[in-house]
Amino acid sequence: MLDEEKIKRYSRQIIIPEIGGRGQTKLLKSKVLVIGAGGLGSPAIQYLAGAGIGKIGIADGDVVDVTNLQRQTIHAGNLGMNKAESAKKFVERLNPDVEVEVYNYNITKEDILDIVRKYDVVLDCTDSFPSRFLINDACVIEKVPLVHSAVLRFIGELMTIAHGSACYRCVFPSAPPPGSVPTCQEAGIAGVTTGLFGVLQALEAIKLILDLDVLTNKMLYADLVTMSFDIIEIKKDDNCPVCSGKLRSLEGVTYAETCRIE
Amino acid sequence: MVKIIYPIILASVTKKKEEEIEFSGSIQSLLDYLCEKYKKIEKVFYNEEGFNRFINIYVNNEDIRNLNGFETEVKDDDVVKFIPAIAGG
Amino acid sequence: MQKHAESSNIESNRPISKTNKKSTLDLRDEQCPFTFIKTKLKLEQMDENELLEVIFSDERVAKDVAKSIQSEEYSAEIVRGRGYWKLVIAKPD
Repeated sequence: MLDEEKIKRYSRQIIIPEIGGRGQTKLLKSKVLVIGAGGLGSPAIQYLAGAGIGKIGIADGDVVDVTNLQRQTIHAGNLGMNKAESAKKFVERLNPDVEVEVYNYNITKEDILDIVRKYDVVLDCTDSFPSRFLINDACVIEKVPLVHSAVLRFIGELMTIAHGSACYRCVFPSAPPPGSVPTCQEAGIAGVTTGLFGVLQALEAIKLILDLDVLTNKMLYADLVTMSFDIIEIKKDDNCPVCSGKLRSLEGVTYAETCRIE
Repeated sequence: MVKIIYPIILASVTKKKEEEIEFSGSIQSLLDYLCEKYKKIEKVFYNEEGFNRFINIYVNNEDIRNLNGFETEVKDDDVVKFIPAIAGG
Repeated sequence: MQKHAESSNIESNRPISKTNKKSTLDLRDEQCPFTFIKTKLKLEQMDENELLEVIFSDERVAKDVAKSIQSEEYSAEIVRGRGYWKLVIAKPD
């Protein structure tokens, strides 16, 4: 599996005991879906591609805008291009070992289950509550490990949902009413915040593939101004409609407003 | 002293990201105290149904739902964190 | 390559253990860190009770690889040959 070229390319991580040739082979055989090629998605895709993830699915219906370049650095030179296509170009230049599947539209409730089940890990790199609840519910139903992260200004959170752990709804059962929490556009977002958390998402994906410890039943919550990094214990909610197994399909759920499951 | 950490949506009312206060009592009485101190905070904390479910409250990094809910006691040296859901990415 | 090698082990007097299988890896043309990496990759494919003999052109390199391998709990002994250095590695039980 590891020819001379691959041994050279991945030499710096093959040396690491937790990776080795076996781990590298696992990475090369793995498939990770990154939903959102924006602030979080860009650094995540960068480092997943560098590490040699065999197949990266990239989903984004958005187009590269100049306001993105402060943090979404992989889109350099691609103003006006669809972000998933732009990200694919970056990956192709960085690492020919990686196959990229592009979804140049925003994944919907109708197609998400079919898509996520084709992957080993999903990264939620989106920027709205409806998409976050949709991705959480879909990944729990399909039993595909999910790495969630969300950011604002200099604040970030990170949690992994896998192996029957607590899910996002165990922490937040429903979304804030529209307008009650500011968006990145309204309150701002530092490039370094998305840069850090996107990379942490890639890290969790890599650790999942290598069978190392991940942040399940825990949330990393950080304030980069005060440099406080806290690990908050998350307990699985017995009443959670999703990870209790009660939710079998997305049919009856409306992913808008509060995204509540009745 | 009890340390309270405010997220962006509360800091816009309190005008500070954290503060230390002399306090001991339940989380509910702490909320009442804060509503008294910062008039506008009540609208951020509560809706018609009660305390906003999208704001989680942690005492020393433990969710109060896993402790004693709003009756969770807060004492000297405790750190109370308000963490609302955020969606930026 | 001449098979003759001095049987005095540089690192210890422990004789090389009896084993079922032995593999040889010639890394005389390799540069650091590929000397260590390729040794490690070969070891991953071996079973317990297998021995690996790795051949280097340089004593320094053999010693460096021995040190790195030993930190991963393999046992390694260096044997000097005519114009080469051989590292004999056993997988731990």
